[in-house]
Amino acid sequence: MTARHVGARLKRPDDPRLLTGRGRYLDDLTLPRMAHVAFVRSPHAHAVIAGIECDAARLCPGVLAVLTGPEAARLCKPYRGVLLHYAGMKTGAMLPLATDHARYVGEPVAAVAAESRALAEDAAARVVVRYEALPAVLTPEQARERPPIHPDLPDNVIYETRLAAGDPAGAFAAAPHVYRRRFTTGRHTGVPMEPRGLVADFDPFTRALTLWISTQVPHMMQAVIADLFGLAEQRVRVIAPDVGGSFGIKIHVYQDDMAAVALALLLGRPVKFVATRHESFLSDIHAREQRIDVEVAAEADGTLTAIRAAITAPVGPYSAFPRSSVVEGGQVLRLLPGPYRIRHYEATLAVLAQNKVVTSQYRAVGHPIAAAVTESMVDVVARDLGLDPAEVRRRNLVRPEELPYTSAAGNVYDSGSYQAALERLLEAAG
Amino acid sequence: MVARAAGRHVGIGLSCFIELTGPGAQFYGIGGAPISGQEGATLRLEPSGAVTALVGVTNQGQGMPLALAQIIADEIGVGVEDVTVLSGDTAMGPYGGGTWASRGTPIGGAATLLGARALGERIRRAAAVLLEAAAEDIVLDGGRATVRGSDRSLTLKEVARAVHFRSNELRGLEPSLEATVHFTNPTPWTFTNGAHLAVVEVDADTGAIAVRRYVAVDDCGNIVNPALVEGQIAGGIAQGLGGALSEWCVYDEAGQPLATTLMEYAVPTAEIMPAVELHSLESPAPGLPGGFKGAGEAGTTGAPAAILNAVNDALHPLGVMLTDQPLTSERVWRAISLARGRPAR
Repeated sequence: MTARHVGARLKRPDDPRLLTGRGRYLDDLTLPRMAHVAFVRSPHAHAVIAGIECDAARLCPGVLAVLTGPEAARLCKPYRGVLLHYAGMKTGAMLPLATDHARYVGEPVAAVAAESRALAEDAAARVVVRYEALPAVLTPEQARERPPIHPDLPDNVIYETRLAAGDPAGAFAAAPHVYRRRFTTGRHTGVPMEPRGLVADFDPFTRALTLWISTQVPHMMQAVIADLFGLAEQRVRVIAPDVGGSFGIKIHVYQDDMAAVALALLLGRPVKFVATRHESFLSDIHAREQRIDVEVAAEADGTLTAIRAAITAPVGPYSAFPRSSVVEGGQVLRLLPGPYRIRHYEATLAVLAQNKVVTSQYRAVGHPIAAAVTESMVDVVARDLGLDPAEVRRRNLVRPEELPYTSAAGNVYDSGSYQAALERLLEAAG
Repeated sequence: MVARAAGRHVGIGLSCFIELTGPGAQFYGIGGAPISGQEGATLRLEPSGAVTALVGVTNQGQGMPLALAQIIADEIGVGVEDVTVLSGDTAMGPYGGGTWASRGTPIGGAATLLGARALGERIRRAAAVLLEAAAEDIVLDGGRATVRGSDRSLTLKEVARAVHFRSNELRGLEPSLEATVHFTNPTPWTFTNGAHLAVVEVDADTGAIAVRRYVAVDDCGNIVNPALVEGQIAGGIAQGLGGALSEWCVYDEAGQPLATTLMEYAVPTAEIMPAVELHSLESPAPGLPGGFKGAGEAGTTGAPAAILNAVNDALHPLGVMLTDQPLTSERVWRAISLARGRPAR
């Protein structure tokens, strides 16, 4: 009988190839007649684009095309990151390049295609954009008070909802102990070793587009790009070469990527765009920026009875496309009860627009925020009641005989080892 | 306690958590987004007797091709070196959503397992004709198709060459050694769980936090390859530590991002990351063939909570509780200074 492979600690046959520099990442791809793209990005968090002067850039050596917002908008449909099951959510549309307003530092305003990246960057430096700075929205309070970032979003509110189960008001009124805290998490991002990049090769005769892109989602990119650029889906081929990390960064439709595709359509020759590290920080989705005001009700023995929370998720000026910028807050809304037997729950979520980089799904979407809040509150309870934090958890964790268990937030925990994992941890830690 | 008596600020933090993995269409498809919640696998037996699999799930460095090859190898009864797994080309592979939300192994692995079973069935049926036996009596093992309880057998190469080159011997059986199976999670998702423990030491004079020990127990269902799971958990913990301690896209009051290079944006380095002690439990996903759950995000989920609790445990004697992440040295130092009645300048 052949030894079973499932469960075996085998080494990756790809490792020697990748570790000795023989990987074929996106930037290793070179096609004949390939043009390179560099971007002019907004230096303002919020500004009117009063004018763009491209003539000097067009005259620079090696320049093949300079694309501005209105020109890109003729090739690519506007797109909105709205998910219908988040009832009532709304967002302004994105385009490959900003047209009348720039809404975050780093938003692409013009794209230059040239014979080399260096020539494209030199020419991009000659593009003159006249901005009229506007007050920026940089906090949830400013989102509520300041004029709208986008005309389609009159109150800067992308999404609001409320979730309740059991009798939270009654549980809090009856609880001998109630604890309140405010938690915040800072914006961060995924920083894959290999930045985002693509090579778009358009054949104007058959209108076929081949797109090599560092991505987690080839079929999604095929569907989206065919739709946005009016191409036949079966003529859009998406190929992911070796991908050097992603962590959720490479599952989104980025404005600069779409501008590079637009240039490929315009030029009829292959176009490469690879983000520099600096550009990555200005354009890769951010995540995690949230504020959570939480209250927990507990019995004297450490039994947790109820949670009440107000979740504020300040995101970017647009909801990310097509996965949106509301899922992270939605996850926290549904995950705050954690692995605990809490029957009374009430939480609100407000997703608010800001003039910062667009946010969306990064590794563990919402989970680290929710776990940090809930677990901190369990320790607050234990500390105040003079109980062992492990014992408070033991008392409240879902028990094996309760599985499958439907949480107060409506999640069905289909299986698991909630109590056993804690016991194993305590044993392992000694 | 000994450390505390010596004036050191040491703390222990626990973190118990759940994580939803392996979503089907419920995340995006139902919301109208063109994002597939199902996953496909096309497997074929080559004339050499080796297996080629085309799958929808992608590889960003996790080692997905190896994990899927291990699943296939067991079903077809070949060595893992006889299986090639390819993905990432819309013109070649079956339609699928790709790898995200810890769905690669629960959904892609399930589709691959079912695909391998379907290919195995095709091989058995062809071998049954060639060996003049019943298909249900054919056993696939050791690179051979053998009539159960007999010494009559063919190598998979012999079966494959007969089907591909001498299909006249198949007596009307479809000359195919290829199978495509698609699968979606019939439930919205499957939950993993874990319990993590961190030991930290805080330097009260500088606010610097050192992670002295990190122990993790994770239950991500049936494990295909412990090394790959540990890689995912450890990497996830590193990114969780980064978020808890140092990674921060800071903006100034004019909306200028201040962390736009790796000089200003502090990803955790080997100096920050402790050696992690990893343990696993295996509660199979009840609704998924193979019983696999996702492992990619558990470390990132559990780490910030464990770190926050450990730091607050260490600082409790000083009357400090921190609730703002990341716990930068400056924030820690300011909080300690405030508690000591020395307003931070």
